[in-house]
Order: sequence, then structure tokens, then C-alpha cells
Amino acid sequence: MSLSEIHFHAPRSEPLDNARLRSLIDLDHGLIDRRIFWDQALYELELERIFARCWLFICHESQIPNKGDFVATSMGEDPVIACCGDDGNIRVLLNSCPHRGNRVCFADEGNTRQFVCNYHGWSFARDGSLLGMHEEGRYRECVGFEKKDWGLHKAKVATYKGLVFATFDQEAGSLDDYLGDFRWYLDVLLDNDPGGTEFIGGSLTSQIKSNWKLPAENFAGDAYHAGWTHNSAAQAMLGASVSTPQGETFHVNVNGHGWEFALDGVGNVATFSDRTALRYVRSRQAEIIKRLGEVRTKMVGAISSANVFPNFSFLPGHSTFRVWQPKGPHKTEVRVWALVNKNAPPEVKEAYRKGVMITFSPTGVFECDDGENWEHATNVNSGFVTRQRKLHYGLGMGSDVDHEELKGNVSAGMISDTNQRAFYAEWLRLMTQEGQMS
Amino acid sequence: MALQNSTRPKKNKKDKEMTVFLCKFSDMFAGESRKFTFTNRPPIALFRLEDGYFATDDTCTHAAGSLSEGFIEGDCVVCPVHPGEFDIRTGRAQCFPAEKDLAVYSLRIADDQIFLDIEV
Repeated sequence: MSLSEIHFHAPRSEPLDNARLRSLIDLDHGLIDRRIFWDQALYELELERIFARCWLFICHESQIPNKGDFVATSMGEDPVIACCGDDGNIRVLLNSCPHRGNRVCFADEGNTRQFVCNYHGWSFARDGSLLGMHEEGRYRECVGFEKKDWGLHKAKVATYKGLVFATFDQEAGSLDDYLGDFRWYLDVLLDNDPGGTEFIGGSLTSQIKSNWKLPAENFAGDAYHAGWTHNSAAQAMLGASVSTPQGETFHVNVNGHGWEFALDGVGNVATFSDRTALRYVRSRQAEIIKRLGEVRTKMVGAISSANVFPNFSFLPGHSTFRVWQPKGPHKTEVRVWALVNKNAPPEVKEAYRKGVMITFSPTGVFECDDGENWEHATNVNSGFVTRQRKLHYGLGMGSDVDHEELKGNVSAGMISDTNQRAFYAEWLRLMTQEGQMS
Repeated sequence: MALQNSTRPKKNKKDKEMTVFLCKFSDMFAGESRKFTFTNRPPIALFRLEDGYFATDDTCTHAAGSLSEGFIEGDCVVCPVHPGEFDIRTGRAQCFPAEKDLAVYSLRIADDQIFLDIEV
């Protein structure tokens, strides 16, 4: 299709067959069709083929350490509860009563003995099994009714070094296979200290009028925007513009997960107004080298961002983690946490908590810049002509390199669209249900 | 927490009343509860509080929760199914959905042994 072509007589509802899906993502030419950020039908297909099938981030184990601790979140638009059971195992349960469908939990987090539906008093144990219901005697006379058949629907759960993931696809491969060599990079944050990690200080939740993929692809690879979008915030926090990092920079991607980074060691943690966290990172570098080697030690506080496909993002240097929960094609709920080493001194944990709030929270000086861009990049596509204009994702083509230490698909240069293309390659693979992870 | 004991009541002097051996006084710790099932009557819950043992019906008067699997809070037991509460000493229902009182039973202690006199 010509870049200037407009379909004035396009059918109102084109079938979402694989040929149409493939026409949306042109990786050879680095072109993306804007309708992936706008169309309701595509969004519905994402809920089915991406969010109901992928391993999705749920919570950190540190949020629910005790029996009965729970957090409520969602997988796609499916509401779920992650609860620590009487046996100490975490289960992820659909937050919807199997009787009439009402939610059984309305709190974001807490500790409970059971989940009782407000509607008819159906009561579920911490492992999701049906304990009983109001007027239970009537159900004893109900032919074919067995309580064991009517628990809360369960997702498949797995963890990686404190991070809890779940999938609704009971046939899904293992989380280890899903993350693949991306685990080697996750260890930069999750395993730079023998004591492990924890989330601190609760979470911040906000909504932006953006398609969920715009923030996800941004974290997967968009170092490019930082020097322009965040210039004023960088001036405020650092007293200088965001400079292009000296030395080698990279995009790496595995199975659609992306991490862009410099090897500057401290560039992002330096954006906190307080220098406590910066000093902590510097003071531990020799120790981290012993655990992770020199290259990964330089990634700990570095200028960098990352996304675990589809919607779990983090800034390694700021140590802020977030999910982009889809709430329709044009709306995303953002939930943000700060991750710290359990062994870190209290003042360091507090420095990260405050640093994340100042920089990347709903009112953070950097995050405000991003939300504005993503909202307009989404909503401009209400225009009939506008959404037929292809978007350019061609930067950094052919920049793949072999690296003796870095794992996954490695390309040189962080000012690149390489990881974004990998994100959409995985998106297309899942949407068409064709091909293998790469 | 609920230890399943199957106990067949022995004939007592009175017609239709049985004396049942439940456990030794030292068998349970304060805050523990056990369930005793019978062949010819509904199960009994035995609770040990700080100052002694108390017996009630085991089945919640609201739905069908087993109170010996519930949660002891002070002098009350909270049903594990819906959080209805009963006073363990009196059986009195404390809050919705527990609206009907729970039957309570007197216990006899002799030679470190706890007996329940119960009609069947």
C-alpha cells in the first residue's frame, strides 16, 4: 500500500483474519498501522489472544507474605485476586462469583479469612474453593450440584525471584521458557543482593487516556524520547539536559521483552533529587561485580528502561515497576511500585520510595511528560484520515550485533526502534497465532 | 485444627442420655477446638478457652459451616464460611448472619478426663 493512500470506501467492519493482521505490522519497512491503537475489534482480540494467554505480572511475593494476605489486580480486563493460602502457596483467582458473577473482593489489598459474595453469600476459601452459601440447605436438594465444582476460577501461577506471574492458558509453557534469557537481565534488579527484593510503600494508581501498547513499547525501547520529552524535567532534577550516554549502548530483546540501556552505572538513579540511592548503588558496585559481573553491574542504576511482554514495565535505574492495565482501546490503568533490596538500609529504601514518587508517579516530573504524549498519540486517531497514516518504526534497522556476553537479540545503540519492532513482532505472532517466539 | 474423633456414646442411667468421654484435660491448649462426630446426632465442637472447656453444636445455625474449623476471638467463635459469630460460653448469636443461637452442652471433669452428658 502506498503511504499516501487513503481508503475512502473501506468496509465498516473488515474481518480480522491473519492477512489483515499481518497488513498492520510491516516489520520489513518499519511501518505500523495506527488502527492497532484505536480499533475496538483489535482490542477485543488482544484480550483473547494476548492477555488471556500470556504470562502476566500479578504482584511481588513481598506484598502477600502471610496466610490470607491478598492483592486485587487484573489480567487484561479480567479481575483477579492473588491470595496467600493456608498452605503458603499463592493462588490467582478470578474475582467473579460463579453464581451470578458479582465481584467477591472490592479491596485493593488486605488480609482475609474468606471471600464472600455480597449478592447471595457464596463464600470462598483462600484457595478459591467454595466453602458454602446462604440457604445452603436448598443446595443440598439441588440435583447435580457439587460444591467442589463451583470454586473461583484459577489461573496458572509461577514466580521468578519474588515476582509472581499468572496465565489463564493452562496449556501455556513454563514461565522460565516465557522469560527465557530475559531472566539474565532481570537478575540485574532481582539478584544483585543475596537477600532478595521487596516492594515498599504501597502502590500508586492512575488512569491515562492512552492505548496500553504506547507506554509498553516506550519502556521496551524508547530511549530516543528522553532527551526531548524530558528535557525540562531533567533540567529541574539534574540541572542539565539529558545527554546521550558516552560509550556503548544497546537494545536487547527476548521473546518480545525489551531492555534498552547504557552502561553508565548511575545515570537514572542520579535523577532522584536526593543522592542517598545514588551513593548506595556506587557503594555496592564491587560487591555486585562478584555476583553479576562487570557488564550487568553497570546496568544497575543506569539510563535504561524495560518491558516484559505484554504490559509489565520497569525503569531499572529508578527501580520503579508498573503494569499498564488495558481498560478499553483508549484507556489504561497505571499501577506503580518501588522495588528495593530487602537488605538495603531503611534510609535507602525511603530514598527510593520518595525518588519514584518525585520522578515516575502520576505527578512525577518525568511521568507527566509521558502521559501527555501517549494520550495524544492515541486520541488523535479518532480522525478518519489520521488513523490511516502509517507510523515510522524504522530506526536502527540492521543494527544487530554479536556480543560475547549480552544474551538474547542484541543491537547496538539505544536510540533505536529495534525493541519496539520486536514488541510488535511478538504482538503479531500472538494475534495471528502463527510462528515461534524469538 | 479440628481433630476428627468418632465416639460412640455409652448408655447412662437415664433413658436417652449418654455420657461421652471427649479427651483428657491436658490434651488441648487454650484457643484450640476439636470436632466430635456421632452416628446418631449432629457433631459437637469442643473449645478450650483460657479458663476451661466448652462444648457447642459444631454446625453453624446459619448455613453449614463447621465451627470447630472457625476462628476463636476472645470468648467467641467466628464461622469459617460467613463471618457469623457465637459466644462459646452461652451459644448466643452475636451478629449477622448468625441469628439463631447455638446449642451449648455442659461438661463434667473427673480425674483429668472430660465427659459430655448428652441426649441422643
